[in-house]
Amino acid sequence: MGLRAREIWALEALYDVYGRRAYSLAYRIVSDHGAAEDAVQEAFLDLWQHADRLNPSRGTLESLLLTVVHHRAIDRLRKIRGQTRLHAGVDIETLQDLTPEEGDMASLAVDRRYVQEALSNLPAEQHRCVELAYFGGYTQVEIASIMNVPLGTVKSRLRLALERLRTILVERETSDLPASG
Amino acid sequence: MTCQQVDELAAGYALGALTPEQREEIDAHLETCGEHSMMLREMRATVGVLHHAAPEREPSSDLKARIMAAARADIAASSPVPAPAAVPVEFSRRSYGWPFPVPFGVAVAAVALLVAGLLAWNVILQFSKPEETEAFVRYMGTEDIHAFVYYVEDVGVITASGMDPLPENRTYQAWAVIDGKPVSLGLLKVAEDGEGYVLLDQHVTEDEPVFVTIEPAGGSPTPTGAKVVWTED
Repeated sequence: MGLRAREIWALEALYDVYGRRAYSLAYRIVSDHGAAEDAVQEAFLDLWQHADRLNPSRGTLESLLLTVVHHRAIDRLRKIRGQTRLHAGVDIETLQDLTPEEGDMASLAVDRRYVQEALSNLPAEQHRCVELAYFGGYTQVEIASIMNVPLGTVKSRLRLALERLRTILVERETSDLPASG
Repeated sequence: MTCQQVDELAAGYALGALTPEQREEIDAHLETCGEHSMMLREMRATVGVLHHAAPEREPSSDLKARIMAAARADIAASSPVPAPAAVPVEFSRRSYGWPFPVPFGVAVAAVALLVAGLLAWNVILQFSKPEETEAFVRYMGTEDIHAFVYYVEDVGVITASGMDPLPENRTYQAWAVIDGKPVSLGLLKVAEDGEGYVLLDQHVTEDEPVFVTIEPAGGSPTPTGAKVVWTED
């Protein structure tokens, strides 16, 4: 029973908990109501159709769902722009292998403000690279072309940005923990 | 692809900014490289919080209905429905109810349903945070109807079997007695095979009585029909 056995109530519960977040992410990417809802619908159905292969010991369902929503929204955006898709044929099992688990940062109750603050604390060129990649759906090569910089510069900016984001967010989480003793 | 090449592409991989060909090459590399698997998991964990930077927006009210309709159509199109794989059942926290004395035949059916139900509960539990989870399962049963109330974090559901079909002007409605007053938990959706469910509108505790009545279509503000199934207190 449950989502893994494709019980309809489990899908409804999943939507009740994560539907709004999923739509918010999709809309941020495609900036179009209809396209965002289509991406969300595709993502929920991706999970639904592969539900029997979900492995509860790997990753959180929220992270997996939002990853699929992200991929679906990016591909819709790229289609609108006349570009080739990046995530054709979403592979739920592969995605699950790399989905954050309990205790990983994405599973913590990271406050939305912290993320926005952390992003704004990045050097401007790193912030722009992350925006173009994650919300803009551009490849590293395309970002290099847009920003008119060498590909190697984009690679290092993205890497430095993720390292810095992680450091900022982990420090923020740690500072919010109650003092022991 | 060498480890150095993966190093260069790792952030792009985590952010989804690679071509499918590049991604496939890294996927192949990850099958044999534990170090990069760990590194990419860490990067994806960071990327996994970026959705928080998207401002909250409300989808249209009919999106859920469209998704549910598509899922039902998918069920109808794919037959037989895959059997659930075995899931280890672990109780990490909180007490849980059990089908207390019931006739033997009923007990057999109830236990079978309970085991299946616990799998569902466990699935939800393992995708959430066990150490912080408020979770319980309670049984309601009669000779014909077997039902369970599950509550995991903020999600509550009643699943039931053996529900007789009702005429269009009647509905099954679930209730909890909270602070001495009956509070509606929602209307059950019952399929032709007698299987029904309702996602609970209200938080209930494992001590509050829960029951189901037959009410006029659309539900009632307070219970008017006889109880068809209820928790034993």
